Amino acid sequence: MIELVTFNPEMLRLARDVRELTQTELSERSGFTQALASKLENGLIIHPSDEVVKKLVEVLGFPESFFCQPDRTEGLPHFHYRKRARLGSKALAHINAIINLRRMHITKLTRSYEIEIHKPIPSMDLDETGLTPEKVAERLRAYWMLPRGPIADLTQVIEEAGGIVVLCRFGTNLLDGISFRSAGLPPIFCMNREMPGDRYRFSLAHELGHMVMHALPDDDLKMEQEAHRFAAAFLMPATDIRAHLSVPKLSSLGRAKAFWKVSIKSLIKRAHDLHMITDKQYKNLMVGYSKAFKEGESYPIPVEQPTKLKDMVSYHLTKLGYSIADLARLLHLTADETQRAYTGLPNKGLRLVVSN
Amino acid sequence: MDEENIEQTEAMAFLKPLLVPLHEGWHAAHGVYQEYDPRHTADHDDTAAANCIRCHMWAIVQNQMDGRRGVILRDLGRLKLLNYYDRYVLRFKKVDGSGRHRNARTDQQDDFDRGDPLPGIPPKATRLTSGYQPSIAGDAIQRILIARIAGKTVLWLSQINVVDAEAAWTDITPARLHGTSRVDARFRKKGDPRR
Repeated sequence: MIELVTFNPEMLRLARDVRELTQTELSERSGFTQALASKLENGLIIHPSDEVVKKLVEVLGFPESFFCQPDRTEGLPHFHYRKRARLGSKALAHINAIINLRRMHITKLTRSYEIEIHKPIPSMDLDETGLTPEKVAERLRAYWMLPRGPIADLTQVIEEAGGIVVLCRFGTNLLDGISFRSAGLPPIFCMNREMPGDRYRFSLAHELGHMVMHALPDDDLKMEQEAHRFAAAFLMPATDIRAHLSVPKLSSLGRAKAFWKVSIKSLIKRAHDLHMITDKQYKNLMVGYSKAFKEGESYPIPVEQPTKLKDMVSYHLTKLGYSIADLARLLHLTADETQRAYTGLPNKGLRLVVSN
Repeated sequence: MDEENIEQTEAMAFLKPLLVPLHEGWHAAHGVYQEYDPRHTADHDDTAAANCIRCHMWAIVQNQMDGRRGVILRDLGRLKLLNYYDRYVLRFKKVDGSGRHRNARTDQQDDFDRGDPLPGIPPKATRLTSGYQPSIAGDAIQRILIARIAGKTVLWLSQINVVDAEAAWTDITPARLHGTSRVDARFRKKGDPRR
């Protein structure tokens, strides 16, 4: 008899969402009825048989311990990146599951890992302070003592301020990233790794804007617009970027992109927002842009690589003497998946659903 | 086949030994510019970028083509020229898809286009433009071209393609209405270089 102290129905649902399976698909692959799957997920059966547990382990690719850990899943944060409206519920459930899994891993990894932060990610409520998103961006740059001009590595800046940035495979390009604060954890930024580096930077700055300005929920559209304005001002301060927006041509903006590491599109938008081009010029540039960059923009920017999570894993493996098997037990993953997700080593086996 | 087509075919056949070096030269020159630190290129407008690339091209031409049989290089200040067997003289420019360049015109350039005398340049030599057309964002070369320009008129335009170190060319002269000359009347009065 496999000893399951308490079967946690939330973990079953989480595992199923991570693997993108419906209850029907799970029951078909496992060889038991959907009714059983439903009862397990709803907590009506708290001591499933050995055979059922064995099948769940086999089909879902998580060890037995995963299903009886006492963790709770959390819902998506109250703010989120654009395009979410077009996301299907299944894709959203998958993303939520990945984020929950990451959060649970980070919780476990931070227990033995000290993070020393000198200047954390602050909170500046717009209503309380009376600041605009642009002013918040300006003050944050000043607080973090960032030099003028482009931010060379935004991920590093955020991680030095205590944030943990995680590159995830969301399996869709309809969501760029999600950030949240969870009890006892540093701010976490889960970013879709399947996007160009310039878009990644803007999305990360957008999420940073949410973290700084939106501690409490507000109107969704308003928060999105504020986060966008923050991101634009944070990555492209008006005083510094003006000189590079003075020639409203795609070629000049392309060269500016290589320097500022933001998309040509966001440069066009910034030029318009700063009233450096007329509405007509803006329209013409966007038309030209659409024609020229159907296959993606020129001057590709590499996606920044976060290091904090890798450092935490490395700390466990080297300083604390964990083996891969130990780490797998800690995270309630299989050894194969632990290696794939956290050590970057090539591996065979189940498809990659979590990765760095 | 009209007069311009014959001239184009003859010219491209005669210039064949130069086509691969010109093609590679432009790509190399453009490549050097792409390696510039973005903090500097961000300050450049299109003219500055084109000037840099042209300077690199001229250096490449000097390093790799000077001394070749039939090649004489002439540096007339802003006009850098390659004289090939006294039959063709090429200058180096960034051009658009129709083979035209858009820099501010100088007397020297007008003289070149009109076929007026220039120091050290044989008067009967046909004046051509070796050009590159950058991509819209300027990060790549879209086409390498040889253009025969008279005033503001493009008499003919050839695109050079290199496959397996072999050069071939395609006529991409902008189409004109049947029966109209490729040289505008105003320019003919001033001085047709083919006279």
